[in-house]
Amino acid sequence: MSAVEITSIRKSYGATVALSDINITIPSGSFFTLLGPSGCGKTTLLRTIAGFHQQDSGIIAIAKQQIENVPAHKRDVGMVFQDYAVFPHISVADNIAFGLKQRKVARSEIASRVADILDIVQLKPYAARMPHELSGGQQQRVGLARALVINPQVLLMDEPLSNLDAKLRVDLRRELRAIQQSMNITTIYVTHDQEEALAMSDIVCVMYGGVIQQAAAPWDVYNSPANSFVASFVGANNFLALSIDGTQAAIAETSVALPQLSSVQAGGKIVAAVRPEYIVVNPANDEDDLVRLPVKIRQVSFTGREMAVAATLASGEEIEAVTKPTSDIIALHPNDEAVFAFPARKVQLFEDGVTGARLF
Amino acid sequence: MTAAIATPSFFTGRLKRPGFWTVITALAVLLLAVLLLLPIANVLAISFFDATTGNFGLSNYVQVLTRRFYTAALWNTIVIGLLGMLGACLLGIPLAFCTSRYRIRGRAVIATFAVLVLCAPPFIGAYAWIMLFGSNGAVTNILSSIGIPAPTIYGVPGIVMVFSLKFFPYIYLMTENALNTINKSYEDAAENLGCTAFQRFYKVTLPLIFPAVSTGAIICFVLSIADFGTPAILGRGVRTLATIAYTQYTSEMGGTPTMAVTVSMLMIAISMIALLLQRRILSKRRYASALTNRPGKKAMSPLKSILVHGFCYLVVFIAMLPAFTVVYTSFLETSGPVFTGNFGLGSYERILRDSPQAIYNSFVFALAAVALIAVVSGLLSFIVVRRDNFVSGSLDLLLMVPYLIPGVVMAIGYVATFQHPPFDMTGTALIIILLVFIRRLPYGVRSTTSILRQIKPSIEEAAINLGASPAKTFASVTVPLMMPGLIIGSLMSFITAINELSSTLILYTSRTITMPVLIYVQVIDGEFGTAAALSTLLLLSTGLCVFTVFRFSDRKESAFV
Ligand SMILES: Nc1ncnc2c1ncn2[C@@H]1O[C@H](COP(=O)(O)OP(=O)(O)OP(=O)(O)O)[C@@H](O)[C@H]1O
Ligand SMILES: [Mg+2]
Repeated sequence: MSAVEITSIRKSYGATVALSDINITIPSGSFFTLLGPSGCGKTTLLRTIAGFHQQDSGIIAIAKQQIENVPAHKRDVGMVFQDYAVFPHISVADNIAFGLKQRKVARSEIASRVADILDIVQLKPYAARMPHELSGGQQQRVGLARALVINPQVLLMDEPLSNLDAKLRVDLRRELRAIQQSMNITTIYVTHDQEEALAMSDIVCVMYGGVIQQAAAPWDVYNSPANSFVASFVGANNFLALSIDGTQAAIAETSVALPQLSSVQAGGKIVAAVRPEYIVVNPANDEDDLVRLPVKIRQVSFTGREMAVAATLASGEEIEAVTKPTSDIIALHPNDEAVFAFPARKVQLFEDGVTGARLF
Repeated sequence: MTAAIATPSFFTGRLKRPGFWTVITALAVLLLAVLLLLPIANVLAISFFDATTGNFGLSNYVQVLTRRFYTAALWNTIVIGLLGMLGACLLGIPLAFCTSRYRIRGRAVIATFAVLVLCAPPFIGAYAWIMLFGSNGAVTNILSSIGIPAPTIYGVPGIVMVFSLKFFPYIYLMTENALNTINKSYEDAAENLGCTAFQRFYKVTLPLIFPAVSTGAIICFVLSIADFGTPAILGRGVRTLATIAYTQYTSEMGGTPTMAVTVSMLMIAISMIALLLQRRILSKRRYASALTNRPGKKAMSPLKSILVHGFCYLVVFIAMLPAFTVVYTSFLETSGPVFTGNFGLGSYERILRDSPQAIYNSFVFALAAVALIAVVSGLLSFIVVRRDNFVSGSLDLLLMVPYLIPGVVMAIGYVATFQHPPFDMTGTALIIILLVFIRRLPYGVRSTTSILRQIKPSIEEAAINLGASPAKTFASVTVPLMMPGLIIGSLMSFITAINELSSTLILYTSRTITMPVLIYVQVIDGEFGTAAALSTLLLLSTGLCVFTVFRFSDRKESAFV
């Protein structure tokens, strides 16, 4: 219900820079996800917001109030923990009432608010139980209820679903999103599961090496990645070296016509990226406007809904296509010659390097 | 919900005020500095000023290391320490092997006896053996009546025997634990590669349990050289550093206890060398192993079964013999120092009539010290486990120190430190309570840190996040979760606190006398009846605590080592 504004936050552990110059704005009521590989600083950022780490410098403001120097127990942010952190020595109801008691809420109001939230997280029958009598998923509901019942300005969650099995994870994430939307609570969510991030979020914020790479709507992060790191981390991608000679461009010694090249300032090396799902294997000859690359098949694997076809270009670069499992594709064998083709307009251009900027 | 947020300036102002844990850490450092480091520093300082001339230098050390009076004691101490350790190993390792590898009936009884032996005050052993094998002992008299000369209990052999029987439980419990947790596959592999049973034990099992055995052995060694009561009662002319430190101290009474202190420093040095040596050996051997194949317990042939059971029960029975003797004796009627041969409660009547003060003091001092230990160890363990900084690391290390400093030394340090107004505490109950507190604090901290390490920090963070202050979080979340460790730690410190002799002997006055001191005095005076009654009382309180720890701890007997 309150906007969060983070300005120039820095944090290092000795020589390790965990966060370098983090700037983000989170609109009130939105679901904001921090996504990134292990060790990129997601937890550090979340815990800095919660007040468990002291930042080296920078400003954190919630609803325009600076809180970066407020002790953790006086920040009005709720937190849901990866390992649930449900107090093992008190009952479910007492766990949920804990924060209200700290806030000196009247007894009768505590009872009614606890009852309401138990309803929302569907734990009504378990109020009197002790935590060890609950399953992991139920414990995490207690953790969520406990954080929500105090009506925090911001809700923080650090991989809250990662200890649950795959099926439960999907169910709970729908439920979580529904509760978040109905309560309209500003939420910062940490995950390294990109599907989870894309499915739940209003804004996905991709982090790498303590730096924010891109913060945008899931659709934009996927389709308009800001740099090659985002392009490779969110969804799969094929990166192919592009050699440019005057106006002629070539991928793996096959010259290609890429109209977008004209709008790019030719500087250093350029890499072309194309997502596997845009690649057609052995297209019919009458399809126009396709970039066609001769390949040698390496491996064909069936993943259930689709086929993954891995192949090698003449240059030795590897390339993968994901297509519908047709009989032609299933019939492919390693070392078969084939053609991978994709529309030129689906090709994105990046500067070379792990976080090379997108040129087009 | 915006109520909790205040203006930034308010908080930047607040931040300058140190947090709860910063204050507690500072207090802890102050406490240990005054109660632990200062007395030791004082003792150390005294040892560098010449006993007669008062000049600064190493002259005292030169004297201690050259005069026969001292070198003989040094030699005795080392020999007794090493032989005591060896004896404890020879009893403890085979016993551990039997109980962990064979199906032994009543293993719990053996383990319980071992723990009781461990917890009983050591001087009880010494004088119980005198009552059996001393010049007028029961066994001696029986043997001489049929013309057999009884083996002497006095001197080095007697002291070594008492130490072996007293300290073997450390070796036994640690080794048994190690034997129970080594991966059986190693032994199987050795057998598969063609080792005989003995080779297998010698080449595979023993090296694997070496870390545990050596840790137990070092504890035995350190305790043997620090023990005062046993050589004092059984010595008969054989002096050790501990007894010299005490007698020198009492003879230098009033003056500066220079020689007592120098001797004490030597004891500390020996303990430290032993500890460092063991650390060095251990650092080269770390065997981590995922436990996949737990060793099983074998059934035995009837003959072997009888032999093995016989051995196990014999060891713990002999080790418990002093306790049995003491309890038995306490119910014998005496007339003066002579036992009349009838049963009765006379000794108990006399201790209740003549020395209620000692009984009262013992319990009050021990309880007060334990209350302090419980509070301080709870807070200290939080600092050590949860706060990751230089100070908390040093506190952890500092808490090892009391293990190394013999009680006599700490007591001399306390007198030297706290004898000047306005901090003159000599002769008060407070000085005894504080000394016992600092000496037994590590037991409490060890127990609470081990349980705190099992509590996930996220539980405490959750409380903080929900608005509980650090102090409130500690009280309402950490302490309840730490409670089992606190209770066990308190009981174990109570056991050691109520049996404390070596330091109280130096600090006591007629008003602050305790049961162990009174027992010592009565044994020296030959009043075995009342000494036995008091000892029985001590054994009873110790036994009750052991029983309670067993109820509370899932690790049972291994909680004691
Ligand atoms: N207490 C600490 N002391 C030193 N370095 C730390 C500490 N905590 C984190 N780091 C380092 O800071 C960096 C960021 O860690 P962080 O825990 O924020 O990563 P993360 O993105 O949450 O990773 P994961 O997905 O694995 O949870 C890592 O390089 C990590 O090694
Ligand atoms: Mg993390």
